[in-house]
Amino acid sequence: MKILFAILLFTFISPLLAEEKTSLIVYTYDSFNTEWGPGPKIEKAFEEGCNCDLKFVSAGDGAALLAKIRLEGEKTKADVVLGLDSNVLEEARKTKLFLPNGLNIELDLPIQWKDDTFLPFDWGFFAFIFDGSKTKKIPQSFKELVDSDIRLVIQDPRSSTPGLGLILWIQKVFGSDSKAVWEKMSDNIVTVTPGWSEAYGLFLEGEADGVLSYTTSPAYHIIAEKDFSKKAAIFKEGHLMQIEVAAITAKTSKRKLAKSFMTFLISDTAQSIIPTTNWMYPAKNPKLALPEAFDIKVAKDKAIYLQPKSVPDLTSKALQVWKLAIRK
Amino acid sequence: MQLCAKKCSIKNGNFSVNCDFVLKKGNHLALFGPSGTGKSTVLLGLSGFLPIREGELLYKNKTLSSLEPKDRPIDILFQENNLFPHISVAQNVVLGLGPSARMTNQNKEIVYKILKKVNLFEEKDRLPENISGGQRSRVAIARSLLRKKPILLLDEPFSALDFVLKSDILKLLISIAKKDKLSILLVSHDPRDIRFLGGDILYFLGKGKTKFYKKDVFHKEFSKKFEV
Amino acid sequence: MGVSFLSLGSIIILLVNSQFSFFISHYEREILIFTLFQGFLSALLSVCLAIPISRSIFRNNFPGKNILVRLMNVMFVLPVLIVILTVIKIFGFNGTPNQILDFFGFEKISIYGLQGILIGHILINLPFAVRLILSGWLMIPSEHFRLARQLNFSRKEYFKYLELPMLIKIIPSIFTIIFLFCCLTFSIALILGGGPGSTTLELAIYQSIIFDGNLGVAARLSLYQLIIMILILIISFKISAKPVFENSLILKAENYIAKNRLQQGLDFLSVATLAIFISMPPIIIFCKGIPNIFSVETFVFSALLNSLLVAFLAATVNLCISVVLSFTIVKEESLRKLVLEIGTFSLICISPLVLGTAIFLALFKYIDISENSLVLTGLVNGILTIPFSLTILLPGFVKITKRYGHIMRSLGLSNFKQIFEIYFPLMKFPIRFAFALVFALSIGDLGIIVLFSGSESSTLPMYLYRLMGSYRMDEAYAVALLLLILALSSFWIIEKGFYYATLRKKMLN
Repeated sequence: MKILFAILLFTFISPLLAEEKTSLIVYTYDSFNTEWGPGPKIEKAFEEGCNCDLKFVSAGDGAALLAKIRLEGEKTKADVVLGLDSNVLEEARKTKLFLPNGLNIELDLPIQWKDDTFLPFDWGFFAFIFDGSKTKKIPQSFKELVDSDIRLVIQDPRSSTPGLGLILWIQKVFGSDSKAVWEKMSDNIVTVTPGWSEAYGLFLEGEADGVLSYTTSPAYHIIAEKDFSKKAAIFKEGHLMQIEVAAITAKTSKRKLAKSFMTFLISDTAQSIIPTTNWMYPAKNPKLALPEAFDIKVAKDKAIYLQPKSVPDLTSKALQVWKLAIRK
Repeated sequence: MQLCAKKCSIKNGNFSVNCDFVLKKGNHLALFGPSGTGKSTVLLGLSGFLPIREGELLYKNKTLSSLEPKDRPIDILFQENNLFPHISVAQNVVLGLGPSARMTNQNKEIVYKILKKVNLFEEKDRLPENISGGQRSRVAIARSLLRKKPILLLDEPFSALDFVLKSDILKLLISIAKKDKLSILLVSHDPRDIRFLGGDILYFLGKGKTKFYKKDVFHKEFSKKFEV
Repeated sequence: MGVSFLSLGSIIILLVNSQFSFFISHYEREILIFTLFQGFLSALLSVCLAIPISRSIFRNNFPGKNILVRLMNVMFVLPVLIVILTVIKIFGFNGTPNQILDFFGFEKISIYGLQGILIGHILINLPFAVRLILSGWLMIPSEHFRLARQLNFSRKEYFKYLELPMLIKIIPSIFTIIFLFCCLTFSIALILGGGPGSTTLELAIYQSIIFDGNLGVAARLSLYQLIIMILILIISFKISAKPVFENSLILKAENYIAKNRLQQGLDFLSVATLAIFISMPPIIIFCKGIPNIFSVETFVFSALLNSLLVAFLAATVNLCISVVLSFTIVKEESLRKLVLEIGTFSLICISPLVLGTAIFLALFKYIDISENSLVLTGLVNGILTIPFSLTILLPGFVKITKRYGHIMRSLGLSNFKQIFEIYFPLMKFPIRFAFALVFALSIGDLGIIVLFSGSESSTLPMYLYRLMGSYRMDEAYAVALLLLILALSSFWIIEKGFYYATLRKKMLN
């Protein structure tokens, strides 16, 4: 008990011992701030010009990030939250924990971005990824996919952001027909995993022909592994966008610093770091051209973006359909 | 001549003990010596739990070496754990009549009779953990008696009991042995037990060596040393 | 003492932070039933398989027996995700059995479904069950084996008088622990179950906390879950002795009853099956990890160091609390004692996520959780593993109290003196074993609080999950290999330390 007490005491005191420099606390999801992710590079680049201490605090995946903010509520220590998914924007807005950022920046997104609070820093399209060396006939549409005997692994919409993305995508594209699509897809689905990592792991092990991921996933294999076999299936019905955004919290006392970080996030420096570390498209194209692997193959008019206000309704509808249609 | 060990060598792991003795019907033998000299090894060898590597073990001039424990004319009581803890005293005793013996009316009579003999009739329905150490020993003896084996091996079975209690049990046992013409082999490191038993002695010298003494010779030679 | 009520307390914390209703929806009832069903079946099968296998291990001497038992110790240290991947590697679409079927022109068999869930759960829990039941066989006094031979017991009587009483004593609690484990995870059931039909309550709790931000639902679900689990726990307490996690197994083979050819063959078969079964994950990890071991970046060393620190902290905290707790429990009277025991053991009855959330809610206002995430992970791991160390420590404490309690009281020894001068030295070996077990467990554990707070300093399992979350599956296998080696070696060091187990026996008997 005494030792326990001493340890607790230590945890209280240790932050006080740290050297004081204006610090900016940025909450983000786990994989943004890994040693090989964009976090450390962005931190270094930003700190060079700000005379401050940029602190990334990671919290599970994208969904857990919002959960953490929600749990902390008014008491949050975050100045900026980075990595919220556009499909949960409405949920995030409801917390009333974010304030307009006061920035006016032109972005290079396939859609017009009009939001004064949430600022996109990267984005991608959901897509099924296949191994071109094994799957000779990569489907060109949902219709082709569900009619084939391709084996798929997808994520559970109840616990994973891409999983949620897929049901929204299908719901948006097929509307009242989505139940039939799911029923037809049911026999293509090998299994459902709680998160992206498990699904992608199964795919790499050859357990399934295709996996739900992003159109940018092959870029990782090409650039990091020189493996050109992984291909994103481009569907005629269009692709749902996932836009990752950052926002300044309402309670921050360092608004000015937070704002300059947001600006930095869209700067040429940060935007050229993000693609090859976070494996997403940049929100604003950097001056230096990106590797060829980042060429966007989805036509602009095939980009599907859900208005945040419509998402909660669509989600509950889609979840209901999904639960009933997949009888496994 | 009843039991005869001829230059027996009994092996227990890396340790082997040699012994050589004779035991006449109705006589007793004490296995005596400090602990760690192999007394229990000899008992386990005689009762068939350890193989006899060399020499011969004879009973009525027939060899016992190849017989299973259950087929030898010998019953052994261990230092502890002689009873199964989850069944009653009476149920423990009835096992002496055979492995599948039940408490039928006929068996009940036999069991109760033997329990009365060891003064445990009152405790017949209790579990072993709810009776005293001395009582547990007597239950084990009762079961042993039902097996009607002519030779009884005791591996310091009462070592946890105090001397008065121990000698009471021994007294009981010896009187029963006398009546039924049983032979007792008792392992002990307590010289008082040896005197009490009043039989010949197999003395353990250590390093696996033993020496057989006639009762009188032993007492003459060692009376000073052990004050028996 | 507060530890005993942590599980209920955490639900209350969630309640305070939410709106609550007792109403349970049709959907929730459905998954509750599925959760209990698959947990029951997994536990039942694990135990049923473990009984003959542990008996075969017990009664035969064979080369590699020691290694096999040691390997069983570390199986539950492996991250769940790795276990799932190895199951799929073997039984999946491209696994050997399916390749053979395919070669002969048969249709491939899908692992996904109830069979998959069971295989996954058995793979994790069977070694654990075998290990515990093995200590049960070893608890049978060798005199009884000799007695059985002397009294000419047949196989049937042998079972009735020697084996059955032992099994009745230890099986219920082993069953309960496995049951709880299977009910409180969701990855295995969902992935190997093949679809949303295989949803366990834990997934619904995850969804409500992480996705919907609805703590009320999470509190309701885990309250129902807690009530059911505690009932099961109480029942198993009532009918059985708590499992004794014997610190050191002195592996002797009792040659108790003649075995015929068939039995010999069956024994061989079951031991061989187990050996193959549990060596699959390590072998796969080894094969996949070795080629990538040099591609692992140097960050892994800081993660390794952090893991050791966390594990050390967890083990220290755990031992401080469990020694005091054991001391208190053996002193208490019947009802309070039961409440305290059940309370403490209910720590393994509650959703880890609910516990993590509650701890987070309780602490984040006062402590900078992200700055101290390593310390917190260690603390939480230490507390959550208390039930395990209690099962190791309590029997010894009970024994010592029975034997020396009156003497200590008549000598007027203070509690402090009793703990440090009587219990501690006498319990040296169980305490060291408990320390080692908690150490190994927390090396492999992700740590529940991690979900909400993390700084750059990661532990080995966190590092592994991050690699997997960043396309780096190959490196993840290499880290899994490191994790396995670390867990194995920490157990090895301990088992060596337990060479003197016989000494302990002398002191306690």
